[in-house]
Amino acid sequence: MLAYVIRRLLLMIPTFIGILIINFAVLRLQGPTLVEQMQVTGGMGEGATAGGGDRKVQGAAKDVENYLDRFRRSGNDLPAILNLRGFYNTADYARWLRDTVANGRHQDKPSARNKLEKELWLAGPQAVAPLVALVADEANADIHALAVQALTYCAYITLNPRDLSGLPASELQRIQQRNETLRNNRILHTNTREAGVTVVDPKAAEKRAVLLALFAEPQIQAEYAARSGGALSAMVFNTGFVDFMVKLATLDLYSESRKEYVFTVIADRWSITFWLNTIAILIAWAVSIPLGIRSARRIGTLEDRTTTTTLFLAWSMPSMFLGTLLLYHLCTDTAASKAWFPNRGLSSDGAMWFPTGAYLLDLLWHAFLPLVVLSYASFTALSRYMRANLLEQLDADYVRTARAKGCSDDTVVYGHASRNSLITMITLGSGLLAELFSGALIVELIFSIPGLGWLMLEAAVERDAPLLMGSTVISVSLLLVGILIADLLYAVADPRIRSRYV
Amino acid sequence: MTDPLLQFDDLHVTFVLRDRKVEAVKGVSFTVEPGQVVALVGESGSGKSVSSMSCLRLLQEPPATYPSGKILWKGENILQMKAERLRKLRGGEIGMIFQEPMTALNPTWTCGAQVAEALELHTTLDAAGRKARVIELFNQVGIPQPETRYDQYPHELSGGMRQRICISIALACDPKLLIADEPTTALDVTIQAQILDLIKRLQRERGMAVLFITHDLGVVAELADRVVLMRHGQVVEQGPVAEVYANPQHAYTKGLLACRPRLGVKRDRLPTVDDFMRA
Amino acid sequence: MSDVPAPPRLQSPGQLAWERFIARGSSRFGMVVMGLIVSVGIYAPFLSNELALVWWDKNGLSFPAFADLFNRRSYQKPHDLFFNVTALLLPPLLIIQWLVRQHVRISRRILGMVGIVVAVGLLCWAPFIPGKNGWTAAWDHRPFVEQNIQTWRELPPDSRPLAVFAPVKHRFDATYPGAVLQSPGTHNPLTGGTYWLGTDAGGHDVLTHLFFGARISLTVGLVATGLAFFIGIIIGAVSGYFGGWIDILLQRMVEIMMCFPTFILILTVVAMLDRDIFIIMVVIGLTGWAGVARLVRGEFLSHSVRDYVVAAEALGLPKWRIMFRHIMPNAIAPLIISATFGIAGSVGAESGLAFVGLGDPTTPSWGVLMEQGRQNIRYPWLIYTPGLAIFIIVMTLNLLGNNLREAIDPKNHR
Repeated sequence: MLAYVIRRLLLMIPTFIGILIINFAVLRLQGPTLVEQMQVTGGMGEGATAGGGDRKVQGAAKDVENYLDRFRRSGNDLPAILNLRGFYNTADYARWLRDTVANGRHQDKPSARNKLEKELWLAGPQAVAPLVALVADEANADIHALAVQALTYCAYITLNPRDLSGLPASELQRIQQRNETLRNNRILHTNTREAGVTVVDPKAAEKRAVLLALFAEPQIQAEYAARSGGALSAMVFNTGFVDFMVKLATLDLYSESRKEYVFTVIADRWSITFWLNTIAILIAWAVSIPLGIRSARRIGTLEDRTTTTTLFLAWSMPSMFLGTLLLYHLCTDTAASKAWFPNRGLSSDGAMWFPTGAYLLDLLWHAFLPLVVLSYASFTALSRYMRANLLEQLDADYVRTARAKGCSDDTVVYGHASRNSLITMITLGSGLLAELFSGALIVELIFSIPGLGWLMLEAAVERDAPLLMGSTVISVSLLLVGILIADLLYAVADPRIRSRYV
Repeated sequence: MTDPLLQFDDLHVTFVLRDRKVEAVKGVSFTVEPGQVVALVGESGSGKSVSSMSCLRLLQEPPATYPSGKILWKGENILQMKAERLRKLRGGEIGMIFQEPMTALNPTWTCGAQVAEALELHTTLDAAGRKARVIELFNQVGIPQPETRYDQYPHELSGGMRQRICISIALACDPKLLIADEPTTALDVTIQAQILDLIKRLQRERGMAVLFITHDLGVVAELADRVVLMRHGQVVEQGPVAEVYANPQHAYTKGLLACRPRLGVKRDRLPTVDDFMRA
Repeated sequence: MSDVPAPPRLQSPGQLAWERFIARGSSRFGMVVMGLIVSVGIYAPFLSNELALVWWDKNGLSFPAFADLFNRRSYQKPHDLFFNVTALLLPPLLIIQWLVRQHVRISRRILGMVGIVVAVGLLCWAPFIPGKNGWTAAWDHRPFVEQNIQTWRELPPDSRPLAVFAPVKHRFDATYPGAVLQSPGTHNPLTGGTYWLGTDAGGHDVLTHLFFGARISLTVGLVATGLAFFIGIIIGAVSGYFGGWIDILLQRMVEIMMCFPTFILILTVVAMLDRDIFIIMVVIGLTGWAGVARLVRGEFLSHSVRDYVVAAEALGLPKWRIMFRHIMPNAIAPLIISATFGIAGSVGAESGLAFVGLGDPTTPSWGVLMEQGRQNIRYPWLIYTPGLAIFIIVMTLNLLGNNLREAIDPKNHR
């Protein structure tokens, strides 16, 4: 039996990793890119100087920095699986910057835009040394303005919420001061396709000198070198996928929309979904097995036909329709009827102070309709399966043997056929688990239950990739645990499986 | 004159389906005397299995219906028995074994439990007594290491062993009649011979009657006292085996007998029954 | 012997299954309902329009609603163009079908019909290829404002031209002032029409929304299922026929897809991309192939060891030919059944997505309407109308799938 469990667990590992990979790939599809965001906020376009004034520009730069923070915290600044940034030298950066000047920065082609973004604005500490060398070289005067801007963004250091509390105050202050210096010394310029780069910042030379002085300090150079790591190791380990896996393993995913670590958010929520789903499964099985058996035994009668038709109609009815109908008819005060059930949440206000009995009643009152809708989708399918499967089993040869030895109908159905049906049902039931999770999402949305499904939905609407990723991983883990339990039950019920692994 | 053990009297079986009726058995009459081995022979679809299944009313009703005719068990009409009496009959007085030993046993029950269930239904033995009786039965039907087999599941046994388990279920309560519905068709040739020998031995030891359904004429010659030939739901010819084999009356019987391959006779092709039917 | 039954009329398994299928009342009912939904989808612009169907003034006779079918200012999505083309193409096609029914086998006729529909569908994409504006100029007209019911009603009654208008006098993309969340039966003073099923939160007529939503549901069902089947058949066939490590690898992929809650995957992808109805369709298709692959693989596994395949291999036929000409026809029956359920599933998935707020807000999908119903819970017509529509289409497809399964595989059922 243990061998069987271990085997199932081992088989789940590639599945789990596959799911993580798909998840990661999907989240890499993420919407607007940094360049678009810079254009929107005016961080690098004509907008930056159109209104003139350092203060406005600094505000725009702050916006871009916020966006940069988001990118870096979610690991989306890194290339997905192969990081070649450590191999770029000053000449490469000079070439790209000149391309940018020649083509204008408002690239229409997404591929060119991505390259610009990934290799210039998001390159981070790895680009600092080559860019400093570029700025220091007088031969590159034509692209100094752009290079300084790229340098200030690459050298900008994102402070994670954990750093804010974890780092010593002096260190924190030092980094913040340097970020401030970088922000103040960003060269302002206009850029058009026709004109190339026009530097309009009167203090450009001054700013360049300040930055060169800053990066001339050996201590700072050492710091950025340490941050970028070796080119070879960074190529493999400083990538989006590794970053994601490490963050997942160390529970370090950070949700920007909630300003909170993802697993802290999930910790408050997963148990609601877990309990709702578990209870819904139990209800669905408890109703559907007897119903299926009853229907199969009365095959052809009016009762069987009514049950079959009703189940068929119910099976076709989307649970979102049923849920919304229940919400309208039973949870909403209208002229025609009053609300019988609460329309949101799982407990009344102040339910924490209720005595235990009242608290449980309140919980039941709140959870009743969500459970109905949640168990309903599985229960229709399970009943139909049970009926069909029992009919199939009743046709089997071993049932004929049992009848031939004189078993009564009850013994045949409950002693022989049902048990074999249940074995098949366990497989089908584990297949329904995935749908149950999808159903939970809709039910939680309709009845405003703060569970994992609703969280996932909010994350999706807000495009909060780390939160979405974290909650998907947790749901899939719960699902895999469910499938594992089903596998175990299957092995317990079916001696053919059991004996193979004992 | 005493009643025969089992008497088919103009039995008709019709399956009423949604859009049509299928007459599977159209007036079958023959008898089985105590201690006699009767072979019911016919090609697939001739109604021989349906006839045998209706002895224990094992056909699903509906779609199966019995528009006319009787099956008399010691003078009592099986087709009009109450459910309670029918259950006593099944397993208690008539045992039955089937064609497919691979699927005829419940995969989730141990072999011993499946045999013991028959004893539980028809005898007053307690659990220990049942187990002792099952092991004795296993010995009788030639299952080695019966104590081990008792706790094994059907999938752990070979086809021949499973058929022996089925036989011990059928024989558990000392029935007067054993109905064997093509018990060897699904087995290897060597196992077939063993099972046939077993049935023959058990029949002699217990003096019970056997209704043996088959399409194998060689088996009939070896085993049976009487033979009943069926085709298209009707009895074509019946009589003592030696008589029918020596002097077949009906064209179909002649054809069947002539079609058997024989040692030492070389032919370009084996004749088929149709050759004789056309003639 | 005289009582041997006469051999039955020779029929292919397909014909037999079809006869068993159509013999059931519920199948005929389902076919009629599906036919109705398809017709409503195709002819939605004639059921619900502000433009006159026929307009006769001093300049002569004109048919503005028909001319408007190919106006990109009115119909802005490829699927609308497809349905509009189909609306004109369908009657002559049906007549041709009827004329050649004696000469061409039914399977050929069905194939031809499907081929034409697919070709038209692909052609309808051409004007939407980005950057190729030359394509679109040909059908980029000004809207026909003059022959609109609103202008017609503004004219003095004695000088109005003769005109025939659609039964529902609302445009699917029009927002009527003061028409937000009006209850069913409210009068529209601008067009003189009635909101038979009320209006939604955006001031659109719900009945019109319902008509045009049928187009979305049908397109989603067909495109998503078609894509899922295309991928699933190829993966399943390769996996089942070649076996070995390819099979192991592909089966892992199938298992991963089966384990993943599909709806959550779709949701994640759609959340990360633009909310465009065609992206949604493609994503639903891309996530739905696992079941098909498993089914096809099973069929291939069971058939690839049979004698007729061994015989074909012995003849030296190429592998793809054995796969798709010899084995595939055996897998068609279960695939048709599964496609019927697949379409129902895709329709459900799309409306579910719209219901949770991730639909394409620019299209009149039933799910979008339902979402409005959830957010404006006191307006039951926003719940019942799309809910019943989704329920009916899903139920009908399930019914047809069920009956097909019983007709094709009668032993599995009573």
